[in-house]
Amino acid sequence: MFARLLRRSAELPATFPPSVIPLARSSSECSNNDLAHEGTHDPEKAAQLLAEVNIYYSYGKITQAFDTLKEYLDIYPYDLPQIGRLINLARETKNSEKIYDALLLARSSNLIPDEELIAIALEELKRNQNDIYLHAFLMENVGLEEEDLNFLAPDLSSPVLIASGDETPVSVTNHFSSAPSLADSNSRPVEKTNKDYFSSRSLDSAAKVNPWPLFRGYTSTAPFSDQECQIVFSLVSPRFLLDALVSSEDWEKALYYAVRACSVFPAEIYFVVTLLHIAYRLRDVDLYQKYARLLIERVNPRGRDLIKRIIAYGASLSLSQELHDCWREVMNSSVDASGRELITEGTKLPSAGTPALSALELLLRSTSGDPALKTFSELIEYGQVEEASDWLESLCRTRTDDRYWNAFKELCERRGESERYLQLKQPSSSWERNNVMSLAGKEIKVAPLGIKGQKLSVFSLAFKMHSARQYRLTSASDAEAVIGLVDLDVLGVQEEIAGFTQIAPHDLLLGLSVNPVVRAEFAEIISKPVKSENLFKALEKLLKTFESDGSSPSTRGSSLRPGSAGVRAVSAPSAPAVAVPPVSVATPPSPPAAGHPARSSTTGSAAVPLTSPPVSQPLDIHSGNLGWLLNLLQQTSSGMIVTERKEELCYLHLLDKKIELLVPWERLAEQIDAAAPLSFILGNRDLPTTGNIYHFEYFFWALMPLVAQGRITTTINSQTVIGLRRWPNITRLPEMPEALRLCAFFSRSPATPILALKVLRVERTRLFNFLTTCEVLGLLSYSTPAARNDGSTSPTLSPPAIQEGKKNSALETAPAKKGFLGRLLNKIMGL
Amino acid sequence: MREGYKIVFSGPVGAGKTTAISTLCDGAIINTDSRASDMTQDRKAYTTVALDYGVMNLEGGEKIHLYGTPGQERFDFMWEIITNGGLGLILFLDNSRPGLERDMNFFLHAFQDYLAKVPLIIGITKTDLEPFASNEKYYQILKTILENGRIKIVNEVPPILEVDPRAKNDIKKLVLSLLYLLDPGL
Repeated sequence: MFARLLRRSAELPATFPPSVIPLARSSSECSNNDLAHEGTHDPEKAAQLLAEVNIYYSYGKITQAFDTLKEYLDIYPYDLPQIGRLINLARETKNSEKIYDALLLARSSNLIPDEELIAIALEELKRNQNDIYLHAFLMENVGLEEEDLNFLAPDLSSPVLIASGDETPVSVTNHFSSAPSLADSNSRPVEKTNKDYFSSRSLDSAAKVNPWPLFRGYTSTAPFSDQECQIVFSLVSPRFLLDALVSSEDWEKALYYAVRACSVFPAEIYFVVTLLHIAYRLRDVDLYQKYARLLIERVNPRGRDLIKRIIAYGASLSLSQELHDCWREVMNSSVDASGRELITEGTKLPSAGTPALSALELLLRSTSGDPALKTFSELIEYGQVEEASDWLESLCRTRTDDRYWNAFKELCERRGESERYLQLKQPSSSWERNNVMSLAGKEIKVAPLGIKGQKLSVFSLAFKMHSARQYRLTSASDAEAVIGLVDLDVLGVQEEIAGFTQIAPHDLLLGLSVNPVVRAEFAEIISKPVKSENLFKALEKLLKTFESDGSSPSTRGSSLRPGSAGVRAVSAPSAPAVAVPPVSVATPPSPPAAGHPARSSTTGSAAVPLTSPPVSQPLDIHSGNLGWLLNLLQQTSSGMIVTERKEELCYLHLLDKKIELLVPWERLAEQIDAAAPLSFILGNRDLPTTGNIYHFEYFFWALMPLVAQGRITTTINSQTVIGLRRWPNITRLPEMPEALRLCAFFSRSPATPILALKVLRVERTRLFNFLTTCEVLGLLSYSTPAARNDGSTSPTLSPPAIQEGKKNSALETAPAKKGFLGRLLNKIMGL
Repeated sequence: MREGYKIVFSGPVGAGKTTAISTLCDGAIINTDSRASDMTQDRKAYTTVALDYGVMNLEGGEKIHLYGTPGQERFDFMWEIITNGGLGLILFLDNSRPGLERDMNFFLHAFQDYLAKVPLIIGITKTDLEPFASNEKYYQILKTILENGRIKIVNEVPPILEVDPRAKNDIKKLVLSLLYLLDPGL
């Protein structure tokens, strides 16, 4: 064997051992010959598999790439480039079992010389000398013997477990049944249990044998004893083992070994920290406390990082009280000046709560037992540093005790907010002092719109805790509310906004959304998840802007928000519900303005062509010719619609749910709307394959705007909350102005027509045409049955006098939309 | 301002995602089509095995990234990556496939986390092979899936539109629907 190996080694390539398998031949070179070896193959599947390999690889999923490539090689076992790639992938996985598989597959193909495979295996063995798979490949599959290995790689230590001398050979097959056997049939060792294995050997001798079963032992269901653990730790770095377990989030096993590591290596503080980590992840408070105390006992100059970690963990685990107890013990007893310094250093961590913890520590030392501090400590415990700061500030405002001021000063300094302390302590001007103090006493009411349940409680608490200004979360119907805080992701919130803008003296709106796209009616939209810092900053900004002209919120007009004047005009409480004219104020598009040109409403009526439309009758879709036609559609008999003069208008193919139009649309619409009754003549007529044949939906979608002419159906009044039950198949329907926008609006959240006019700034005739058409097609839903107007009451919305020339020019010459979505809209429109 | 936003196109194999992206994007799209195999080969010669990617350039240098997910379930690990930061999901369903309901169910479940945040638009394709019924039928399927699967989507009444991915106007309307759902006030 050795002689054979010598012969073969003489033929090894100059670059032996190669780091990467050479691609001896290109695919084209080898494919013809190689494929000749194959029995059945599926080239399409193979191409797919190779494509998948590329994808997995490009996404860093090496293991999946390896498995897929192996699957490919099951089809094309002689594709040399791919075999080489498989080996390289296996090496990238650093998984010896996969390397073994790849080498075995390569060897079975007979395309790669053994020398190259041996070289690869030896190179891998240098990285992991005790790898049983590589030894198995070299010794069992290739057939090398120990002296061969010593010759080829003299620097390698004696390989695997085969014991020499009079020691009993030991098998590890019980640990990895899938692993290849190392011993040949003549020397196959007797299988023994884990316990037998350890008991049969001294620790020293065990340490010299194969560590693989020991390393693999952590996957065993039966844990090792302490003695066995000691062996494990002597062979496998306990840090490595614990890191592996922690990174694989195998917390139970990690805990098991960490506890033993702590007892085996009592001086190694690393394991205590690992235990804390594990206890934290297991949410085992008792365990955490136990080892936290142990750690604190061991504080020394090296413990700086550990202290930082324990603080961070403790803050997360709501252990601040216990933690504080530990600190106090440390502070008051065993730790010297350097230890105190470390504790202080630890509190300088940038992690949440730590600067405040420092302040808390200071306070607790000086004001032990003060119940006022309970809230403060609770806030810190939950990481609400901002609120804790505000709370402390409020304590300072109300108490003259220097201890609070000192704590607040320290907190501000640590958070880099010294100016805040100075401002509170010594306002730079009388105006500032007055302002600060007056604002502290003034309550700003905030109406939550779309915010309910637990969220409401959280916001409420946050507002209570915030003391720079006094905010109070009130109800959405509170007329004294200054600001509306709107959760834009809640269905139906538009209705609440409408209600708020109608009753609140200042429709200042602050939005919250996961998708904070700028909207003109909102001063700002805060991205979710909402941080209290951002919320209060935005509120402050809003109020600052509001106050910028020196007037107080309660007396100031709604000039803060572009377009708010227009909105106010619409939603003025004094305006009766049936009043239409105010709506028209908001409807026409206004000249462009910076920011949101399309929707920047004017603040006065002079700039807007105010049209006060004559109140005309709305359209009753259930009466007249239209109602009659709609009833006809419920029948199954086909027939012709004719006028009194027997003019044929259209033919109803009711079985096919289609209508054949025989006159122009305008003519039909005119006759439908006329007072003269139409007639229906039964008759059979074949459905033509070409011509003006329309589905019902298409037919009414095209017809109704011509019939309605800006009139709304009597089933809808100004307060009817309308939703869209389903979208019409709008891609296959004739164009209707603004239909997409209106569909989107009413499908997203039910709203009243007035709100639609305000928010969308869509022309009223278009809105009414759309709603009337949708009602005819049964697309509308109503929030409550009562919300739907039964038609017996007088209509509350009526169409404006349409000045076609003016109305369209304004819209059509509307400037390009700004903002990201506006630019995208323009792009799509221009396609 | 972010450098770019994504619009994600998804759907089963052969539904028309690649074509739709080609229709929208500026310049050639990058795709990873390969010869179809397995069950897909009787539907089309080439299939997307990784993703389609196209860019729409907006004025001011902004970009909209258009991503088409692979239709095969085994590539689902990419979906989360692709959807991250998306504006919405445009789901194509092949009307000529026998299991449209199953497809809808699968994709709504697969993207349910994403759809809790962004709007859904559904495009029904291949209606030249299998005529589009009233979209009430599709809404009924959708409602059943949402209720049975307890799936919450941002827009409970998403547009379900008949589209031909080759027709620019159809795709425009799909994307416009998405934009107006994001902000009807546009």
